[in-house]
Amino acid sequence: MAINPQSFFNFAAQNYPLLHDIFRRNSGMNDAELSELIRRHRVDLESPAVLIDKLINLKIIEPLPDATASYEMTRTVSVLFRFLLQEQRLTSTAVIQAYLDELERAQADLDHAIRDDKHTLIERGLDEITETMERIRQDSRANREAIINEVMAVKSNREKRTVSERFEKILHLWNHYLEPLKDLIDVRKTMDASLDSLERLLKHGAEQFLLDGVLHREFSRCSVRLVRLRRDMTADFHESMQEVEPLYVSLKQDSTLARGVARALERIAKEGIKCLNLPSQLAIPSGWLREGLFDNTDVEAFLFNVRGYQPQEPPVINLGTEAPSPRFIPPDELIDALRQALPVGDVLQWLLDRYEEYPFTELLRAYGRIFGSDAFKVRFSREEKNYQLPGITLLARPLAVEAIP
Amino acid sequence: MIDNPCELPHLDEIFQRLSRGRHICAEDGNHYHALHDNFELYQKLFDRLGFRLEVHPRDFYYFRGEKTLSDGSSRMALFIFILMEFLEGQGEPVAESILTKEFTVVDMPHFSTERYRLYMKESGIADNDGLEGVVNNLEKFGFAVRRGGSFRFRSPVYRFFDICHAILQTDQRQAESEVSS
Repeated sequence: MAINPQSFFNFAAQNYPLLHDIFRRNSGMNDAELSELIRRHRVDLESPAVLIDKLINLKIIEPLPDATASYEMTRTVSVLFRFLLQEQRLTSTAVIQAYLDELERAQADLDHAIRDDKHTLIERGLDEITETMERIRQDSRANREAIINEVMAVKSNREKRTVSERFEKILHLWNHYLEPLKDLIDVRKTMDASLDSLERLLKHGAEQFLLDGVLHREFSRCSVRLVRLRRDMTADFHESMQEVEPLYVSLKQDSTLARGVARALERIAKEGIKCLNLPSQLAIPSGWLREGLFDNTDVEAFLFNVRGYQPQEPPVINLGTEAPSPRFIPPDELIDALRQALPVGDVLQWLLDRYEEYPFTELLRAYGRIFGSDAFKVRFSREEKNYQLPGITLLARPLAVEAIP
Repeated sequence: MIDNPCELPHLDEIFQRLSRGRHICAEDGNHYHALHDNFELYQKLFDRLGFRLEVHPRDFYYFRGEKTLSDGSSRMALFIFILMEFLEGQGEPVAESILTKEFTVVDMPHFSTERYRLYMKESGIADNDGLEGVVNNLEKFGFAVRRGGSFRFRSPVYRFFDICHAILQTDQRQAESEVSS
């Protein structure tokens, strides 16, 4: 029996709290529970049975298939409630894909009808396409609302669920709704190509029936609806992504951390804290100026090697029988010897005679000491003289010394 | 342009801090900016002196010790691991809570369950005084900062997060190699 919409909405307005309670009983209720519910909301009623009949007649409730005298809210009214309460359920992309397939089929039918110039079939085709597009659009919008609701629930976390559980929920949304939806609106994918093709067909139809006011208007309306569908689906997707993505990233990070911590603690419990080798993983220097220096191990290793070492008698150094070759003329001895030999007319010759076996460099050093000494009065001769030494010829003015008066 | 390494700003204080195992982050003001602006010079100088200066992707600096390492590392790591697991169990966002919340030692969960008490026993921490010691170490090395009776973590705490990631990756690699073999 057909329902009078006005009667339906009047009844719904008068009994909204009751309908809302029935809607909340997802798993249905038996006759007694429903009667109790009706009495709670409608104290003026003598018998709930009349109202139960009315609920059934208006197709607000229907009997449960698996129990006698038990009822549940009809799906149509439940969907309406969910829409009104912004509690839409997610529609899988498989359902949306089925709609798209239907759209393609309707598009093919419309194409044939246009070719055959059959106005009735064209009108029916356009109706089907409009109906399917609106269903896709409504489901897309419902998905967006449902996703936002899920995200809000995960964010508020009233049930105090763990990070891993919350991540599972978001991951499910991501994998089952967002990623496939992304494929649907991706310009490189078939869905977009299919809608492009529909757009061309509608444009062609509008041009072909330019002189047919009714059909032309229907083609134009359908084209506008197609534009709105594409715009809304893209907006729904981006809105959903904006809600889900930050939560997905943060929960993914937290979930990884939580799993890492759980694994670390598990290993510590089984194998002890040393198994993770945390000091070397963190590698925190223990104190200043200990890095870069010998550590105890090095010193210990060195001491270990020298432990038990017994020094032996040092080897005897044989000086031999020959006298060491002279190398140095002590300054005091030099001055004393020269003082006893004064006056000396040629100091260099005196040195060559007296210290014959000394190296020439040491004789020159002694010559310099005598020249610089304050103990004598020194004077250079006017005539130059050649001194013949082994391998050396020296030309110099002889230096004479005498005692200071 | 600094030619002479001895003219690097705050060289003495920075060296003193890093060589004692401290981590220097943006909260450390001048020391952080000096390292940030002259990282390569500092790294080169310290390298010559036998110290390995590291910069973390989260923008903080520390010496990676090689020979004599802090004994407190295990206790600090265990302290943070337990706190992270507790927060996760409470439904809190782990990383965000660790980095933004203020904690007090008396509210720590480390002696709240038998399992946690066993971990504490394993690491030789007997009571809240022991936990205070761990928090002191965390502060000394620049992982946390005390304020009044509470403390909060600083960005270098990411080094403990890195360990969690590393443990998980090692496990995953092992699992993959077991599957492939």
